[in-house]
Amino acid sequence: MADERGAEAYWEDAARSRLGFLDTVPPLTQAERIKDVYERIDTELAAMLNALSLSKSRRNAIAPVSRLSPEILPLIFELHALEAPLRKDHLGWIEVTHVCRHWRSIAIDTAALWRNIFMHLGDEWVGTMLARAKATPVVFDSGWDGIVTRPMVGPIMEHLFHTHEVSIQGDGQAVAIIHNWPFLSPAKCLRWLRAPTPPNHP
Amino acid sequence: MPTIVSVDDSTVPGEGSSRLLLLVSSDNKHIVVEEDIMSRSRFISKQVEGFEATSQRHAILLPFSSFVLNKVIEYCSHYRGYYLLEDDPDAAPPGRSPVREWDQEFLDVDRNMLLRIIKAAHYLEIKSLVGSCARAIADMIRGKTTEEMREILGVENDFTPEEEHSPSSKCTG
Repeated sequence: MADERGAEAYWEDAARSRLGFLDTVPPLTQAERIKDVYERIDTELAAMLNALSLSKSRRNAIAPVSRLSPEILPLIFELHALEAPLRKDHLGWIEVTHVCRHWRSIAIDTAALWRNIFMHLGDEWVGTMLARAKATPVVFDSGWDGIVTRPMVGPIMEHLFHTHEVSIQGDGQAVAIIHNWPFLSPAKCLRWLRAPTPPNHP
Repeated sequence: MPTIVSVDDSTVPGEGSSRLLLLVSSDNKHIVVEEDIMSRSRFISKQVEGFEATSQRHAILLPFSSFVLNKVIEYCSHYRGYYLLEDDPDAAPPGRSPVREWDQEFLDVDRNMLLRIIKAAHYLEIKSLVGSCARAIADMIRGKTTEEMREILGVENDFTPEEEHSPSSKCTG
């Protein structure tokens, strides 16, 4: 049976009931007990915030954009990604993963979105993007002013089997590194390797 | 699968080169449209093939309103007889190309209407219209902050503070 109290009264009663332990607050001299009370109330507040998030997720689920077929949101994100690429100073299309839980989950599960690996975002990013791209053909891009170092070339070589393009700027050191790298797998789908000439190249 | 009801010949006239179809919207409006116009819809084409196999005529019940259906018919009428690459079953997903000028005006509608049109286009399997709507929505959120995107598409921030501040959320998208 539905609760007949209004929403405000219901939640106020619930909060009073859960926070009843605050009716008898220990004296300030009992530091340990005070600490326990704080821990308890923080636990209650965290649980309330979780419930609030859950309620907001339920609200989001009825929004028209959340009711689109599962194929459409990834398509919108992919088109958005084409126009809002990652930059050194801006996350570009990745901002969609910060909008809400549903968008985040859809974006993370859309392997094609993660195919453009912007190497200068750092190792953690490169690793995460490669994991999310799964076996999708990927594009490694060092950016127009990026100097590629030996550790940055490592992921390219490890993921050569599904690397579609490599675009490296810099002083040619990276190409020298690639030349001398022990190849772990054939570059079956590599279409482009854009890079400056290695130093001392004839 | 749509519900199909039988229709007698007087309801759906036309035996000639330009046959007519009866489409019934969710608000129970009966809309007669030339089959030729709706041939861009793979869903409708498959339904018509089914009619031919059984030699029976049917009305096609659709799960969206007449307002949305009329918009889709307007789109299909505009491109009647045109070849649009995106509607090719083997065509690659839509790329960077901008929304066609006519489509831009056609899709200059409010957010909810745009979402209804893309939903209907997806149901009817009209890839070109799905692509144009998706581009229009992508354009709506381009250059916007997270908060602005939420406002534009009517969703709330439902992350817990813990999720919002976790390294996996902020450092790696």
